[in-house]
Amino acid sequence: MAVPGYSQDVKDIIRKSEEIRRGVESSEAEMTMTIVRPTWTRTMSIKSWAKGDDYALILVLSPARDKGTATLKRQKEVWNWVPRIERTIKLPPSMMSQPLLGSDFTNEDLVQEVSIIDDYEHKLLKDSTIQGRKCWKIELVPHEDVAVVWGKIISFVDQKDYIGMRSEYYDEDGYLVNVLQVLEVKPMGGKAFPTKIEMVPADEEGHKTVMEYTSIIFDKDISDSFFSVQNMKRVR
Amino acid sequence: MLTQVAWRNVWRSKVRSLVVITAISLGLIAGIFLMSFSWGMNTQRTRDIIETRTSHIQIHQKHYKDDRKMSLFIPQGMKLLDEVKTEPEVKAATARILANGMISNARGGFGVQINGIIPEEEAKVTKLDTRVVAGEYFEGLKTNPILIGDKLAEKMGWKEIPEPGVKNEDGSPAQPTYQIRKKVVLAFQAPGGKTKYGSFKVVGVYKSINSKFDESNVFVQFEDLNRLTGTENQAHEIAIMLNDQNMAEDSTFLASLAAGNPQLLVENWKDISPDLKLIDETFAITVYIFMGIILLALLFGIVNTMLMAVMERTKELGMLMAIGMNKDKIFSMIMLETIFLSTIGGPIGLLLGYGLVRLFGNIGIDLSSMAEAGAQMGIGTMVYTDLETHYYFQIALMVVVTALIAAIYPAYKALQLKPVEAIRSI
Repeated sequence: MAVPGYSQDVKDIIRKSEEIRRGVESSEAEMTMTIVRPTWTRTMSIKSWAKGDDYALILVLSPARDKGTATLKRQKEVWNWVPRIERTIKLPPSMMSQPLLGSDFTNEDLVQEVSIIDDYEHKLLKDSTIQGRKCWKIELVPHEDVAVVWGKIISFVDQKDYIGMRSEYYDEDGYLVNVLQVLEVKPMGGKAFPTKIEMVPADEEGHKTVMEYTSIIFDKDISDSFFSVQNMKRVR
Repeated sequence: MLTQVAWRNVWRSKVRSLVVITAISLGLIAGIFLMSFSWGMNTQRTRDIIETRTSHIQIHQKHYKDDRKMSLFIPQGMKLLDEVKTEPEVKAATARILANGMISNARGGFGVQINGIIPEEEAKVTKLDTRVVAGEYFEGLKTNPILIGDKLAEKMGWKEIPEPGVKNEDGSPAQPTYQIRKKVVLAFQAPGGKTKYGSFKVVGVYKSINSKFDESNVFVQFEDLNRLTGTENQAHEIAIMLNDQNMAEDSTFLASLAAGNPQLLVENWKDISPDLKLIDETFAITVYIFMGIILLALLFGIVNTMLMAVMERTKELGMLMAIGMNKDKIFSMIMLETIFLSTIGGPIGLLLGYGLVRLFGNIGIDLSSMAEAGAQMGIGTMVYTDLETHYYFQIALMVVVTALIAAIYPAYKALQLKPVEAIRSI
């Protein structure tokens, strides 16, 4: 690989992978989320809608106890609807790091404040293989003044479909904190899609969250008004 | 004449009298010490809270405290601060911009109050700089320094507590160590509802005597927080230390300030911290209850001894009655004896109690074995006993009155004696 334009190549990979991740205009998906803890396991089935990078709506279908619980993302804001207490909550900054639906994901994972392309320094490491797919291994280090808690992120991007196969999040001292990993890539919705993803916090043994897509429809026509606080309470 | 008889009676049975004198002095010492302990702990706590948190006076926008909305800045805050500083009554004053938000690192996020302070001014008002236990007080970092509390540093995983018993080379117990120069992300809701994020670097760790405060307050620079909010030179709070604490409640300057600026809320430390006032009063009540119990015990002690004194002298009292001493005089004699006992025991107790208060006022009482509980209540590990002069007299009076009340029953018992029977008794 020629040295000039070297970092540009890395940026291109990240950019393309980002485009693949959210490139579709809109999507409607159904999935199951399994929260694994040392002493118990809980499975929820979830329906989600997304449009571009600004709008997302997540609805819990089962278990019956949590049915109807919805989380809405509008631009940088996150709203919660809990039907059992009939309350809508706009999440204050102090709740952004709370778990999302009790899983190992956080509300913050929904709202990405910083740009993975512009706010990080990228470096290409040597290629590796994840789930039988050849991947670029890329190190992302946030710029000094960027509001990111991570010291660095190691990302593995599939060389064929530009799917982000694995992301390792490290703190400032280089300790591994979280691992986000794709467990399965299958054709779904007309293209290769990461259908099974797991999030594993590194320092909590026996904890993880697995998301498995059961169906996804891309480019469905959804209007912006679908992602409203009113609709969050009605949606089925 | 009667006084002389009574005085002699006191010393005819030295052991018995000394028992009463000792009981009275011990009661006094216990009472004085207990009061001085509470008083010392209380004044110290009040002073600590004023000096480290509330200051003497605070100024806010009138409605700011209702829901702490960030948009409710003090109108022309910085100009007001300059005006306040020129007042001769004012020792020091500073302005702050406040935000409620979250601080996070890779370990997670914690809800905190973000205090945007002017470091030099803050040091004069709350002496925050003296509480820095690691790192520097806003020195050595150019952009976005942040000072976090000891408890928060612990929760964020940046405090290392040595194993109990580990010693330094010079034999002193090893102190906790902190990691500084760490990056944190602050998030808060700016006026208008937009969430703002900022990256800060830990410049130092402070530790106050109140761990709850340390856990929930972080300090950044006034300009930094203003810049992040998208404002310039805006303040939510002006804190003022006066030359004289008593001025806080009746200062003409502050009265005129409040009257001239109806859009402001001007409060003294008692208004700011009603809990302080409440605890103040609770402490006082507790002390009086304990005093009551001590005095009650003392009462029974004196009754017992004086009753003994009367019973032992049945024959003698009968004789006095028989040769014509009237009942008033008998009663007065026994009361006088009690007064003598308490006027001897009183000064001894006062003196010893005073000495004890002075002693522990200097060396202090070490409560470090319950430092954890104390820190949660905002009480330091050392308590220095202290008591205002008028309390000594109050306690002395209470003890003397107790002694007199205690003497009534024995004296009454003596009056019930029938001279003829009394003389014949052994």
